[in-house]
Parts: sequence; C-alpha cells; structure tokens
Amino acid sequence: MKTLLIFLSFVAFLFASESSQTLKLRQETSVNHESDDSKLQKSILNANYELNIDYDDESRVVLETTLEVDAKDKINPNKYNSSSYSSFSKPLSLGTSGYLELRELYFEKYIDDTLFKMGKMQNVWGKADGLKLIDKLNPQDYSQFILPSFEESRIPLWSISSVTNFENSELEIIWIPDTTYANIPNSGSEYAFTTSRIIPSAPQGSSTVMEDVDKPNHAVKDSDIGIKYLMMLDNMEVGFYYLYFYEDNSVLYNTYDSGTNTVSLKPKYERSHFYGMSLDYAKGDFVYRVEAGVTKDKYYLNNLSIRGIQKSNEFAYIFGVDWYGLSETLLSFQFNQAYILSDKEGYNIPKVDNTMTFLFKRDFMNDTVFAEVLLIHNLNDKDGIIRPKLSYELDAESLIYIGFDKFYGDKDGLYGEFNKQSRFTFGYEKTF
Amino acid sequence: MKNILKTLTTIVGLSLGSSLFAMDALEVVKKVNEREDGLSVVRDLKMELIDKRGKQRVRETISYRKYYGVDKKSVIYYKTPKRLSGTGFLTFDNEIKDDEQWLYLPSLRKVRRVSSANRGDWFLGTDFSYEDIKKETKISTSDFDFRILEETQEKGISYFVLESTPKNKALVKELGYSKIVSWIDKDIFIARKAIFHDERGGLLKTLLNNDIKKVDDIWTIHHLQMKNHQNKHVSNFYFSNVDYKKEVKDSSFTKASLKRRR
Repeated sequence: MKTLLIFLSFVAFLFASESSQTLKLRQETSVNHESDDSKLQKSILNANYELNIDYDDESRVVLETTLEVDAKDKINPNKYNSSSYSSFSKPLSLGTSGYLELRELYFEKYIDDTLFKMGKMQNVWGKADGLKLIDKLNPQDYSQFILPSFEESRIPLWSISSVTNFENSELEIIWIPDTTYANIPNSGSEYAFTTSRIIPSAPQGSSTVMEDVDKPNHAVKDSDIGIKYLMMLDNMEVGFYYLYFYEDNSVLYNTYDSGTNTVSLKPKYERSHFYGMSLDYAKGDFVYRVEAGVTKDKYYLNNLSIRGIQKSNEFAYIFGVDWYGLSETLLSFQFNQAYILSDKEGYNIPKVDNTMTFLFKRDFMNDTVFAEVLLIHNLNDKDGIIRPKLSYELDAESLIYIGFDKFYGDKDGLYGEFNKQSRFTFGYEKTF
Repeated sequence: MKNILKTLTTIVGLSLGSSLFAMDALEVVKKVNEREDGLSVVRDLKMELIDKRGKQRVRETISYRKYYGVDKKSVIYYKTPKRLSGTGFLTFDNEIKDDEQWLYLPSLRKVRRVSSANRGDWFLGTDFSYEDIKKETKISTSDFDFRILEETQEKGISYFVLESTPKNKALVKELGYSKIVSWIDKDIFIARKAIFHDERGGLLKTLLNNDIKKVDDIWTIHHLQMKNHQNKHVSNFYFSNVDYKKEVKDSSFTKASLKRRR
C-alpha cells in the first residue's frame, strides 16, 4: 500500500510538472604524442542525457545519464570492475569498451530559506583551478589521470544535503552514505600510476601480490559528513569547512616475505578529519583566493615505518590571484604547499610539497573563440603538465576543439611518469 | 590676455547656452534616474547576436532583479543554447562598497568570484558592456559630467540631446567610452537612442531603444539594439514576460540558488 502511494505521488508529480531535457553528443579522439605504442589513445562517443522535471519554482527532480563507448579501449579496460565503487553506484559495463552510468538522480526542494537535496549528485567545495584541496566530497575517476574536466571525472555519490541561507551567510550540511572511492587505473592501463609517490617500491627481483581491498561498506557507520559555513565580511567571502571522511585513495600496506621474495600489498581505506577555511577577496582588477586546511590522521607511504605506512597530520594551502585587467581575459596564478606535520623521515613524498599553476583564458570574436592554457608544475620534482586548448563555437549548439596535453619532467614524478602519454585531443560537441 | 578672454567668453557662452534649455543637464539625468522601474522584476531576455557576415546566434535567458534600498541584486541564467544552459551571473550593485559578482559555469560546478572592475568588458559576448547592463538605461552621476547639446524633435517626439563625458581619463579607460550622446525622450525620460564613442573619440556603437510600452504602469523597453560600428557586430535584446509584480525571493540571489540546475 505504501509503495503504491509513493508510486502514485511520483506519477502525480510528473503530471503536475514542467520538464526540459538535453542530449549532448561528443566525439573525442586523442592521439599519443610520444608513445612507442599505437598512436591512437582513445576515440570515444559520449552521449549525455539530462532531464529536469520542475514541479514548481521550488521543487525539482534532476536525472543525468551517460553512455560512452571507446573504439580503442586502451585507457582503462574493465575499469568498472573496480572494487572502489559501492554496489549501488557502480556504472554498468558494456563489454570492455563502454559503460552506462547514472550520473545524477536527485530531488531538491526549497523549504523557506533552506534548499534540501537528496539522491545521487556531485557536491563541490572549493574554487581552485586544476588542484583539489577543499574539493574532497566526491572521489575522482583517475582512469585518464587529471585530464578530463573535474565535472566529468568527479564520481557522483548518493547523498543528502541542505543549504540554509541567512542574511549574509549560508550553512551547508551534507551526509554521504555512499562508500564509493577514487577509481585508480588498473596496472598496465594507459594511465596506471607508477610513481613512487603512490606505488611502494619493492626489492629488485621480487614479485608483487595485490590482496583484496579492505573497504568500508556500511552505509551509516562508514558514511562521510561535512559542514560548510560561508559568510560575507564586507567585501570578503570567508568559508569554514569540516569533513569527517574516508580518504578516497586507499593506503597500500605492504609486507615483504623474503622466503618467497614477494611483496604483498593490502589496500585499505582510512578515516580522516579535515578542518578547512577559504577566503575570497576582490579589489580592482584582482580577486585573491586562499584555501587552507589541516587533515588529521592522514596515511602516507613511508619506507622506514612498519608495513610501509606512517600516519601524520597534514597542513596544506593554496593561494591564488586572478587578474581581470585585460579585456575578455583571465590570468590566474596559484601556489600550493602541503606540509607533513611529523618529525619522522622516510616518506615517499617530500615533507613540503610545492606546486604552482598558471591559467590563461581569453574569449575572442564575441565569445565564439575560446583560448586557454593551464600549466601545473611541481617545484620539488620539476615535472608538470601544460595544456593549451582552442575551442570554436560553430553555431549555438555545436563546438569543435583541439587541445594538447604535454607532460614533462622527472619520470618518477606524479606528472612526469606520464611523459609518454602526452597527447593531442580533438573533438566535436553537439547539444540537442 | 587673449586666452583669458577666450576662456571667459566660453564660460559666459556655456552659461547662457545652458539657460536656454528648459531643464539643465543634471535635472534631466536626475529625472532619468528617478524613473520608476519597479522594486523587483522577472523577465525573459532573448539575445540575438549577429556577426558581420550575418551569422546569427540566439541566447535565451531569464533574469531577476530586486532593489534593497539603494543597493540592487540581479541574477541572469541562460536557458538556451542548451550547451550553456544553467550558466548564471549574480551581481550585487552596492552604493557604498565595491560591487560583487559571481559567475557559475555548470561545466565547472563552481561559483567563481569575478572582478567587478571590468565594467567596460563585453557582457557575455554581446555588444553591451557590463556597465551598460548594470545601469539599465540609468546614468551614473559619479562617472560622468553632463551637458545638453540641444533640444530637438523627431517624428513627433521631443528630445533632450545629452552629452555624457567621463570625469577623468581613468574612467574613460575603465568604461571604454570617451563620450556618450543620448537622445532622451522628454515625456518618459528614457533614452531612445545613444551613440557611444571609444577611448580615442572614434565612433564605437549605437544603441536604439525600441518598443517602449507600459507594463504594470511602468515604462518598459522591450527591444534594445546595439550596433558596433567597429566590428560590425549587432546585438538585439528582446524582453518578454516582464513582470514587476511577481514575488522575487531573497533566496534567488544566493550562491546555492546560482548552482541549481536550470
């Protein structure tokens, strides 16, 4: 009876509502720049369907699905067999070369000054370009490292949120019972990590065995909870953040058996607390941005620790300056530092890790031509990526683009490890 | 001595000239700025953009605006093209402190704070500047000096021809205009035509305000055409479903609202 009532309410909702739908088709091809292997890295057809059903100005249901097939299937074969997804969030694999994914399905409603949302969705905190410090709510799909847009690579999660607006501030509370974590590419796939920053080094000649992952799977006990409070102080936007969460990247505990000359890796997800703040201040042609935070109980690879893992607190910040002094142009610079707050030595990453980014964006010809260059450079490893991109609006609903993703630097660096994956990408997008 | 005489003659001439007109320039500007435009408004805006080859692009938006005393909040969302649907631009026009602006791009899912100093930049690829859009046919008395060039009559409508000149060189650079000449309808105190000159004094663009009619007893422009003479680009703005009576909630002007799917 209850089910029937819910069904009838849903039908009534559909009939009493207005709807809009969008279908976006994208063909994108990437060609390796330096690889010894086959030149073609991927050739995908992506269909994204979105349906918005508005009951009134205050209530809405949003549905978004994505179907993608890759003619090459070199990026990350069988990626959706990944154990990092919860059973109710995992996309449906279509053979080895495609998938169908429910990207979003949520209901939202304003009650007085509070916007409630419930369902599968993306929740985004922070504003940094190309870097994530506060944007920790949703995990990321690393099957193409950081090359796809965050919108595309961010993994939506089943969650419930509320945002309450006060006169000069807003309070957001979010509960995430979905135990889905970052999708790490399988060993042997195009963007599989090899850097010692992420993969523990093994004695020469030893073999490596990957054990089953120790993954949280209880929707309540293992859920994440986050609180954000944002306020305007004169011309400054100040934000405070708290997140009790599982780090999206598993920790690889390792054990060496000298008898069999085997290293066993045991992936395990660990809990952390994050306390963060942000500042935004606009003055003249400049916007200054700061994001900073302390992660309590973060787990690092450490050669000198038992099972190769050491727990420490981390302090990290991003300072950014956006300059709008030239017409139709944005120039942005960011500096990011992450400190391991521990006296111990032997970490696989520098105790002070420094990264800088530079972004140039300019629109031409009444917003029909868009040029962009993003540089991310790690100052410790002297590696990075430079990403120029040019897009042209053929008509209101069609866009063509060409881009170049050039990795450079130390082959054991986070970016330099992908030197051979540098690629040209060209694509066509049509929206209906 | 010759120079002093010349200056005096000019001052006397200007004074006499001003007194020849029924109203002085500042009075006209005051009347324009005092014109009723509703405490709040909801309206659809269709933007038709035509390039020099005649290629046309259409953007459909919905916008909300509300006054809070002398301050004003407004937000505009793209409805079409679908590729840009959900893109939102939120502005707080503050009388005392600096204006505040945020841009929401659905492709980034981030509300980005943007500088409000770029008043002379083109508004979303149109031929209007951010300042043109913000002022909504009102005229900034803090940015310009004014004088009435003449009173004239055309097709049965009487006009004050008003020249607005930025107060200093910095403002010329910031606004992108060295001079604006406006034809102000004497009956309704709306500019029906304006000619904009670029920083060097060259002809930049011409605005025509057409289809002016009353909605909820408020004179409302329904068609604005801005023609850029330098790149031959034209922007037609068509307003429809203008509603000054619909309740506009304060929550419409929040970042949470900006991020909602459209």
